[in-house]
Amino acid sequence: MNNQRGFVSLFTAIMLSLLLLVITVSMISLEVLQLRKSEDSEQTMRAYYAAEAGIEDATAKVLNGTWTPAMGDRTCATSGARNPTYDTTGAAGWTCQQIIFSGNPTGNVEADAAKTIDPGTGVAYNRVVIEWNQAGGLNPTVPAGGMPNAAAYAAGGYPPVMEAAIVQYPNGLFNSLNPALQLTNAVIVPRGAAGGVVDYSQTPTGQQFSGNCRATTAPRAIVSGLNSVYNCYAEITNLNPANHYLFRLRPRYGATSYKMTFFSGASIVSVPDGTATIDVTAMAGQTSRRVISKVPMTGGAASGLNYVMYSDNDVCKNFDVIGGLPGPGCPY
Amino acid sequence: MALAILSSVLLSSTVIATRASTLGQVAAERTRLAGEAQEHVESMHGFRDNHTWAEFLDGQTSPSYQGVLSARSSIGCRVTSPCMHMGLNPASHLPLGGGVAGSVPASYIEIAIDPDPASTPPQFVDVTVSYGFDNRGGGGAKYRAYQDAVY
Repeated sequence: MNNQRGFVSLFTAIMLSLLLLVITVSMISLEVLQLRKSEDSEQTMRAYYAAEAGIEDATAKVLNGTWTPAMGDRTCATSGARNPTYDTTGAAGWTCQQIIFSGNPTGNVEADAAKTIDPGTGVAYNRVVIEWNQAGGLNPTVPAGGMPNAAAYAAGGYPPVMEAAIVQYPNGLFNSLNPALQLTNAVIVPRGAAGGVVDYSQTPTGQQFSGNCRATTAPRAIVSGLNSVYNCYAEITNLNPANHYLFRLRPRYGATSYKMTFFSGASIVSVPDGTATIDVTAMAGQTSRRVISKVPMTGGAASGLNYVMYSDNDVCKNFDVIGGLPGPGCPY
Repeated sequence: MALAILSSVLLSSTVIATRASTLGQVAAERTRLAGEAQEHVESMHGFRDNHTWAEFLDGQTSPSYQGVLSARSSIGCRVTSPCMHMGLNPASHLPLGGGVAGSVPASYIEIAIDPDPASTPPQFVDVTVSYGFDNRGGGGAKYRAYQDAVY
């Protein structure tokens, strides 16, 4: 009888012990999970801020114009290495830092507002295709002769006229005081299926050109190697690849979307489009974090025109000096 | 014998569970503190974004506030001295001298600023954020830190 009671007690003790063991192990698992979550969270934060430091570093280079000619400071080919100049303990650092100036400039411009495209000096090209407007049911042909007024133009349902101001500057750094700068304005008027070519070498400033336009945006081949989903296009040819250019697009009569494609011979080339994409990956321990940031570029040639006023005609400035003698006024 | 087994299992389970619970609690508190430290860094980024670089570094006199370099002091620094933190003064987040306590008991958060030695004024500052808290029952726990750079 005593043996039986002893067995029952022992069995009960073992069962209770197992129960306690299960509860304890579960509790430990939960707490270990909490610990791991905490560690992961901290490592993630360290990797994130290391990547953020890489973004800040690259942003400064873009804004200062000190990015390397290869347009990438550290490429992903060095993956696995930590940046030696940052976080000397080796605990965290960026492993990949890239600055990418992408593709073909695209965007939207309001009516009578201007958008300056600075393709930079790193890529040679000799022609550029400008495409604009994306709408259906348009009348693609503006009648020959003088331009209609704004109300008549709107009533006619035409795509916007595109004015392209082209600043040519010689090799070297852009200098707005350089007498070799050359400004050309081409006013490109929708003329249906006719035209579509602007010969830069034959372009007197302010001349009208015919833009090749159609009523729809169905894809169509416009020049070799390029399909378009825009209503209009014009190809500016005979640019000198030894020179550099700034393009300022200004739609008249209406807002428009636009796209520019640059060619070197028959090949499409990518040029900076005024925005740098910075891509940084960083590691802390075995945790990686990637941060991508887009930065509007300044400091290029386009910024040289920030304080320059230019016009098709003479510009008259009338300065009044407060408290001083009245100026002679315009015109001089 | 059954009583002995039960007692020893109960005792060891209690000890292990208590230890695990403490570890988990510490981890949770450290996560909370890391989040608060992150708020200081983001606040610093915001301060940089809304001020000139000179104001970010040295503050200004009217209205008067400190920059990240001029605010540094040794008061309350536990890891690196001098140090600073971001705080409300009176309604904007601005650099303030020394370290600051977090919401976790006996905790501290501090930011060390190392200006770029190669240029005057510095073109960037390295930022090291340290945070930690004392162990229960005394004794300093190992602090944690992460680094950023602000240009």
